[in-house]
Amino acid sequence: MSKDLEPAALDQWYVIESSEDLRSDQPRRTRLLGRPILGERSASGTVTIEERTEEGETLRKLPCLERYGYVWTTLGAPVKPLFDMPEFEEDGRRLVVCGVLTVRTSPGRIVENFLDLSHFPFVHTDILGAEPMTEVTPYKAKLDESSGELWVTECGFYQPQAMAASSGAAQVDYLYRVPQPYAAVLYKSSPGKAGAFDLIGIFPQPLEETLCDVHCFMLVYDDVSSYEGMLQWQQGIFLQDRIILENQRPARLPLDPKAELPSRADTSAIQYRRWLKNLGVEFGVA
Amino acid sequence: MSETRQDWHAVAGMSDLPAGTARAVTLLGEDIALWRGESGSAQAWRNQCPHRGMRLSFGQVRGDRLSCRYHGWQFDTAAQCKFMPAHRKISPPASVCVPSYGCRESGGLIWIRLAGDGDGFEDTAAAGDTQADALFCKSIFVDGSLETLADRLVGAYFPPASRALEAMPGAGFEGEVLDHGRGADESHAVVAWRRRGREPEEAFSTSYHGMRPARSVIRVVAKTEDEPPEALMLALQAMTERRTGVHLATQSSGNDETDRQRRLYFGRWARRLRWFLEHPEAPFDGFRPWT
Amino acid sequence: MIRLYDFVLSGSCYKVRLFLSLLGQDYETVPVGFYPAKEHKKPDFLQLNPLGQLPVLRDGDLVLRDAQAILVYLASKYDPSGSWYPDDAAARGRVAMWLSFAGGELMTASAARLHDVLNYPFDVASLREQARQAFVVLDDHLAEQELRDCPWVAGPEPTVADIACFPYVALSNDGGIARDEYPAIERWLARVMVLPGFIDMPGILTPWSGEAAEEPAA
Ligand SMILES: N[C@@H](CCC(=O)N[C@@H](CS)C(=O)NCC(=O)O)C(=O)O
Ligand code: FES
Ligand SMILES: [Fe+2]
Repeated sequence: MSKDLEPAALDQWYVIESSEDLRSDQPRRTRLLGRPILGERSASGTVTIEERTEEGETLRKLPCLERYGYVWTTLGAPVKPLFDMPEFEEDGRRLVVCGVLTVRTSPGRIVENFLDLSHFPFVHTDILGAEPMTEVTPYKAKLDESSGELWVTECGFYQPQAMAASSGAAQVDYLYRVPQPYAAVLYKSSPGKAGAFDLIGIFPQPLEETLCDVHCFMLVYDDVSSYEGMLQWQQGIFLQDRIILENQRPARLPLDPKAELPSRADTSAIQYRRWLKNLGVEFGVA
Repeated sequence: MSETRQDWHAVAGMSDLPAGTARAVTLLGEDIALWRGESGSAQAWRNQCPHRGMRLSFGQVRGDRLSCRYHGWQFDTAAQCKFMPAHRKISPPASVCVPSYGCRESGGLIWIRLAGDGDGFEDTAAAGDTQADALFCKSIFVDGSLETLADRLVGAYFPPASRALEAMPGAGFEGEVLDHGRGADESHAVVAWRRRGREPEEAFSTSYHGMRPARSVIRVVAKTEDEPPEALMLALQAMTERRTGVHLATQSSGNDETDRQRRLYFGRWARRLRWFLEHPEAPFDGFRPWT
Repeated sequence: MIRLYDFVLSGSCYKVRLFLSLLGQDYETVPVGFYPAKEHKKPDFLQLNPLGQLPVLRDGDLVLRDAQAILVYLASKYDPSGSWYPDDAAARGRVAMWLSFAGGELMTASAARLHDVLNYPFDVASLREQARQAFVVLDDHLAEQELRDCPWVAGPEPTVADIACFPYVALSNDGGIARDEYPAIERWLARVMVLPGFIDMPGILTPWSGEAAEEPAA
C-alpha cells in the first residue's frame, strides 16, 4: 500500500531515465516516491509512463516530457511547468549524461550535499579542495519569491582540479540553483571558456524515502577532454560523495533546526531545510 | 533491554583497536564509534556527527583527535569539537560535542556501557574477575541472541572449554575432566579435575561466573593449591537480538613466545567454537588443534 | 607505453592502477564507456577481450585480460626486486592461492557493489552473505599471519596477492557490506594504504597522512 503523499512531493517533476537509455527494446521498470512506475518508448519513439500497482497492473498514465536529455514525469499536478534551463540552447556546450547511480539515502540529503562547499577538501581531496584551504567565505542563500526557487550565490572555493579540463589549481566561483526541492543545478567557472560557467545538475529520483536513483549531467565548455574522460571524472566525484551519503544518520533529512548543528558555512542548508519545511515536504524528511 | 544498558559489555579486544584507528561496533542495537588516539585510551561515542550526522567511525584519527570524514570537524578526547575547518579562526562553542559512553579497558577487552556515566566499572564482576596480565585472543561473531548462545556455551561447551585450557601452550598443569555440573545458583558450575597420574583428591575446581546481563561473561578457571590459576574468558556482546559477538581472552604466561602460541592456539579454538555455534545440531567435540 | 583500458569505478581496473603506481611505472589509460554505455559488451571492445570485461592491458604486442594475470605479468616484467611475485616455489603457490581467491570468492563483494551502485540485477542478499564468508576466511588468515610476523596475505612481504585482494575488500561498504567484524582485515587495509606509491579510488577512505597541512603564503 502506498501511503498518501503530500503535494509538495507529488507536484515536482522527476527524471525517471535519460532519453538515450530509454530505448524501445529497454523499458524502465522503476519506482517513484514508493510507487511502481513503467516507462516505455514505442518503436516510433513516443514515450509513455504509467503508474502501476505492486502486481504490475496499469493504474493510470502519467504526464511525460523529454527535455535536457531526460525523460520527466510527475505523480501530482505541478503548478509550474518544468523549470527552464536556457543554457541548453547555448552554442559550444557539451552535454554529458552520467547514468543512473543508486544511493541509499533520502533525496534531501543528496541535494544538501550537492549545495555544500565545506566538504570539498575532505571528500574530494586534491580535486575539488585541499587542506588547509578549507575556509568557506560568506555567501548568500535566498528564496527567490517570484520564481519560487532557492538560489545560492557569491560562492567561491579554491580547487586543485575544478573540472576534467582544468590544468591546475584555481579559485573557482560557484552558484547554485534549486528550482524545486528535489533537483539542483550548479554553475561554476568554466576552465574551457573565460567568464562562462559550466553546469552540473543532479536529479534524484526518489524510489523510496531513503533510496534514490540519481540522474546527473554536465553541460560544459570543454574542447580538450574526451567524452569518456569527462563522464568518468564526474562518476568518480559522485562515488566519493556516495559513501558519505550512505553513512549519514538519520538517512532522512532532519528539518527540525535543533536536530543537527550547522555553522555559517551551512547557510545554504539552513535555507534549504527551512524552505522544505515551509513547503510542507514530508517525503524523505525527519 | 533497558536495564542492561546500565551494564558493562565487552565490545572488542584491546589490541583490535590499535592507536590511531576508529571503527564501528554495535551494542544492543546501538551504533557506536570506537576509536583510539595516538597516545590514549579507547573512546566510545554515539556514531553520529553533531554537524550533519556522518558516522564518526568513518573518521580519521589525527593525533588525539577524531576528524569527521564529511567536513573535517575535529573532536578531542573529551568529545568536544575543537576545530571547524570551514571557519579556521573561530573556536567552536562548548555546546558542540558528541554524546559519549562509558568506556573501560580491562582483561584484554574494551568494555562499554550505554547508560550512566563512565563510573562504576570497579563495582562489576568484569573488573574483579579480569587480570591485568590478560591476553586477548580473538573475537568471533555468530547469529543468535546472547541468551541462546550463553546457554549453549555454559551447558554443552563448558567441559570442552576446560579441556582447551588444559591443553594450551605453556599450561602450568595437565589434567582431565572427571565430572561437571551446574551449581545451585545458576551462575556457577563446578568441574572436578584431577592431575593425570595423581589421585582424585588433588582435583582442582573450575567455575564460570555469570554476570549481568545474565551470563554475558563466562570464565573457566582451573587452579590447584600449589600452582597459579589458569583462566579462559568468553565475554559475550549482545549486538542485536539476532547477532552476538564472543570475545575470547586468556592470561599471559609472562613469556612472549608462549603468549604468541597461546593466541594462535585460542584463535584456532575460537574458530572451531564458531563453527559449532553455527551448527547447533553438531555436538561440540572439544578441541583437537590441527597443526 | 603500457596502455590500460580503464573504468574509474572498477575495482578490478584499480588493482592494476594501484600496482602500476606502487611500481612507479608510467602508463596511459583509455577510459572505456563501461557505464551507462556498456561499451565493453560491444564489438570493438570484444575484439580486445571476448569476455567483455575490464581491465585489459596492452604492452607492445601483448594484450592481457584479468586483473590477476595482469598483476603477475607486471610484477614479472617490471619489478626488479622480485618481491611482488617471489620466485620461491612455496611462496609462489601461496600467491597463486590468494590470487585465485581475489578473482573468485572476493568477486561476490564486487557483484554486490555492482548491484547497489549500478543496479545490476543480482541476488544481493546471497552475494553479501558469500562475501562475508570470504571476509571471515581472510580475517582469520590475516590474524594468524600477524601472529607469525608474516602480516601480508601471502607472506612476510607484500605481494601481488595483497594488491588483488585489496580493492573489493576496501570498497565493501559500497556494496552494503560493513567490516565491523573483521579487525584483522582493517589492520591489513591500513598497512596497504601506507605503502609507498599507494593511490586510492572513489569509495576508499584513507587514513590521515600525518602531514600538518600548511596554508600557502598569500
Ligand atoms: N576476472 C576478471 C573480472 C573483472 C571484472 O569483473 N570486471 C568487471 C568490471 S569491475 C567487468 O568488466 N564486468 C562486466 C561483466 O563481467 O559483464 C578480473 O579479475 O579482471
Ligand atoms: S558531518 Fe561531521 S563534520 Fe560535517
Ligand atoms: Fe561532493
